[in-house]
Amino acid sequence: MEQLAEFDVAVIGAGHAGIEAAIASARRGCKTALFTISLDQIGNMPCNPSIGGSAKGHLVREIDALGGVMGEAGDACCIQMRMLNLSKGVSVHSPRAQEDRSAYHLYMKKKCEDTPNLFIIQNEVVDICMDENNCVTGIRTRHGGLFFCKAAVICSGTFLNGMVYIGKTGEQSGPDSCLPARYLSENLAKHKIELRRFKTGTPCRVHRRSIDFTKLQPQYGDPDPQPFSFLAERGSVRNDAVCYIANTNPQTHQIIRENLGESPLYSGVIHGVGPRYCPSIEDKVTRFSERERHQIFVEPTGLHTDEMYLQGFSTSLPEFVQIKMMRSVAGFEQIEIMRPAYAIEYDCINPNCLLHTLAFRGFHGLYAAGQFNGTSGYEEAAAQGLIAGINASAYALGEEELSLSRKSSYIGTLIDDLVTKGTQDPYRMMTARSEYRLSLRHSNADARLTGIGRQYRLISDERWAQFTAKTQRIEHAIETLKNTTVQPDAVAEYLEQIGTTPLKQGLKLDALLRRPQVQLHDITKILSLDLDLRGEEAAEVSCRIKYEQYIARQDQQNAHFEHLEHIRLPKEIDYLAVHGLSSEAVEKLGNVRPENLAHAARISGISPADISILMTYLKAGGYHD
Amino acid sequence: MNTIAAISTPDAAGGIAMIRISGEDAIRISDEIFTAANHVKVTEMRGYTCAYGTVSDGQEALDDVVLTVFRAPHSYTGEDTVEITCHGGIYLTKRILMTVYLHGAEPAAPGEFTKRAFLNGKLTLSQAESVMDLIQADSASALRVAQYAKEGRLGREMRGISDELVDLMSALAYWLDDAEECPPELERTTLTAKLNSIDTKLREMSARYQDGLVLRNGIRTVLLGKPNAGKSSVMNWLCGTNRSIVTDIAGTTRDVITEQVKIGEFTLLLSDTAGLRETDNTIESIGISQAYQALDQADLVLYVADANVGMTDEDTELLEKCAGHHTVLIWNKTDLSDAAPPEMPIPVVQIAAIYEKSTEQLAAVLKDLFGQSAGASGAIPLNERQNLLILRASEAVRSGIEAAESGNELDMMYADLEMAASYLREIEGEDVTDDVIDGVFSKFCVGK
Repeated sequence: MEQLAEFDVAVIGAGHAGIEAAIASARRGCKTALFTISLDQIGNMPCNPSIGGSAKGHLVREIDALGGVMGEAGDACCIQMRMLNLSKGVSVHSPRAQEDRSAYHLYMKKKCEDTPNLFIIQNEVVDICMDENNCVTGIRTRHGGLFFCKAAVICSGTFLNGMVYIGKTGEQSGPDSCLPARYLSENLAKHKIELRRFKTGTPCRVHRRSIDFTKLQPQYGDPDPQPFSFLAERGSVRNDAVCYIANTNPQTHQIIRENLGESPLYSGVIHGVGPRYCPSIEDKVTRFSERERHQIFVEPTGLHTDEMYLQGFSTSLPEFVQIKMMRSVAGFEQIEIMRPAYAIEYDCINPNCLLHTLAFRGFHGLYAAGQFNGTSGYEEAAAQGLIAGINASAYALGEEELSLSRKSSYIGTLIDDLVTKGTQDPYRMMTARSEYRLSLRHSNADARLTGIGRQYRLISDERWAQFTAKTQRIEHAIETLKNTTVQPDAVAEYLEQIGTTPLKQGLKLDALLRRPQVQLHDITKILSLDLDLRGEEAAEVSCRIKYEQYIARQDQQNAHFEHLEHIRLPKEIDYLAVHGLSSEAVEKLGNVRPENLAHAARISGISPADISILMTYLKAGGYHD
Repeated sequence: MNTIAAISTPDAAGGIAMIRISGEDAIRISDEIFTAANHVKVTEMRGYTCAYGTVSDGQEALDDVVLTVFRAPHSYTGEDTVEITCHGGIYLTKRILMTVYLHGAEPAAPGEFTKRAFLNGKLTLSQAESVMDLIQADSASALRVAQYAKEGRLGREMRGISDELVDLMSALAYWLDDAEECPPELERTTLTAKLNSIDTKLREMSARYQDGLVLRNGIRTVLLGKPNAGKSSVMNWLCGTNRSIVTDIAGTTRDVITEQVKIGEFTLLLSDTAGLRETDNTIESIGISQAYQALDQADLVLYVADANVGMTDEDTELLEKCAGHHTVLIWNKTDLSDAAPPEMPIPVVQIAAIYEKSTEQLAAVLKDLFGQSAGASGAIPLNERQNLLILRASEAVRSGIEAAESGNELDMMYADLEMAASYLREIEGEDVTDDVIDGVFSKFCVGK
């Protein structure tokens, strides 16, 4: 076997996780290799041609704030942008973009090519080499190549032992007819890494000319779209594509029910666990039989193609059923399928074998991110990729690694959920998963994370200067509102107009603004108050004030855990030797090996008494003060 | 560290009881509920000093107490500590403790005072293992109690309420999270109606906790009747001592006298009150207003009427004031008259209190009145920690209702519900977040 090259970090897979991992690692000064089975699949979107969406949009903004690339690419290749949930509270506003899928791939490929220190290599990785102490020493490729590296990041997506099913025919394949990764699994098993099977599915792609759009309801982008990146100007993204909504009907459902026997999911051919949030159309029809229709979103996959994606219509029924059920939908009578829908089954891990840094417990220099960790979605993958890339490079450089708290971000929440609880089905981010929802807004992702990105050398001087200036303007405006008193007369007319009670005496502006009906831009106009705010800053100031008391209460509610967060559990702790722990606690703590007491407290089956005993034990051992 | 409190004396009626409060807010909380006789503020008291005064729950004085202040680090736990020594009735002590909780203290976890003493360096390292033993032993018994509550009727009722809350949160979480399927707009009025129903159930539960207290800690009983109907003789009959002054001058008893007596299987917390009648005598009128106050909080009224005088209009009028309380008519002085008691829809006990020795007749009546609530219906064996969590959950639910009604965004309201859920979760020991997520997936057809 021949050594071909030497790297600091090797990233296996160039999907959304791998790209972030590789670029972050290279930018932080590590010589980084990015391995992919096909150069033509870098940053591919084998499922929906979109980035963002509820809670996922938050993740993209956080990735951007930390210095990742998904936000910038999403803006550059956007063809339609919308802010979702605008009619609801600000904490659930979330940006979503329709993407030009080919443009996105090319953008990401060029981005990687342009990154100094980053080397893209088309080759199938089959093994990770380790020494007797489980330290990563290199990786081996399919044709006997050996590459030395100090750290490796596995981002294998759905490629690992991929099996694609259309109807009952299954064949070894990666997504979009790519070659699957056929050898890495067995070698991971040799390293005692336990694998399991998950599955996911994607709907068919159809030809634009075969749809009667007059029967569908159009959906346009926002008039003044908000981009993902904090560096982009409002309105600067392309936004002219139109999406459409179609609906299934009882006849469609009847066809599906009659043909359930043809589905590999219902006939037991596929054993992998599918995502609960993204049920196939046969699941929807079976589980929600009372519903007379389900929506189908018809989305363009790019500017230079007529392929249309049908969101909400994923299925693994055979092609003849697919065409039959689709033609029962109003507007789809003449539908032409270009790529049939399929289900894909793949190997992944239960992520509770990872640390918060996304390193494997019991190994040195081995990291994992993305669907391989049991998640689903490009955004969830990219978020983990960024953290894994930062940490693999930190490990290679001998620097301190990063683990984000639940309070800091959805990324921190995502990773904590994964490593603490593991996951039973492909994990999708939702805002309901965070106990800090009110403080984790897409709009303040920069305030929460840019400082951390800066600390890890992913934020340029220019961007840092821009960020600090913005922060100062916001803080100053809030200060001004808290210190300015408004007299009853000045706003009497306005308050009457919006139907809220008049003031009896002078009131500080922040208190006035806390009234649900009162708007910041109205107040500044009436009082001729110049707060010197730009772009989104006024909205941010307004919601920080309006939500202040609620956020304070939420923080207070969660304060107990934060205190425990700071009490670290040493790696070498022998739980059997901790006097007084229940046997269930000894077993669970031994398996998960939590990093701190808050982490331990979140493990199911660990009681407050166990935490008390651990606290006493640590103190007795002199581990913390 | 947060501030914790617990009753540090055994959970039984005794001469005195002690409540210990430890943590950074111990002094602040004590100051809020305590008024010293010499008007010195607790915040100004030095360590190792004590003060005599009154503890109040903000509405009424609960007890005269002695309060001792320990300043960190010179206390058992090494933190600021306040010890409140009060009169030893269980019911009273628990009300004081509840007041301490409502002012911001948390119930102490098993072994927590000792654990803190250890963490703060007040105990030596060699004692660490015994601390862990203590935590383990305490929590094992706490666990048995919790397990009992969970499996019993309390558990089922709690589950019912928290399921309702989780259903509502799932619907709201789905609505907040899912933009693609365009779920129907949530009607605020429907939301608040459901929340009001949850809040009512929580409050009912807490109210029945009071019934539970009756069984465990005694039935709050007042003796009522016209002046000189023989209330004090009845009191003495019940207590078997010459506790009240018995004279034939109307209006002798001016204070509310409290006594704890065992009648059959029940414990009565007895207040003998001044005779209820309009009076010009100032001192006596104070006693009378106290009598009305005692009536308000009574679980049981023993109405004493003079058989020798018969039922008067005044008696009827006073009895009407007792509506809503379990009431027993004590037809007294049967030695002086053969007159039969009037026909009334309440149980009657006929005695000559000054000669009577047996309380069996009354015990049988009490069993009819309260025996049922000891069984399947009625009282719930909540402990004060559980009751506190229920009250806090109810408070959070009401805050959510307020948020929705005032036109605030529903993500704010969701934060209130999360808080309510987290209190209920503390009773059940289960993670509600996962239940909500499961609820979203099982009840709604999530789009993408």
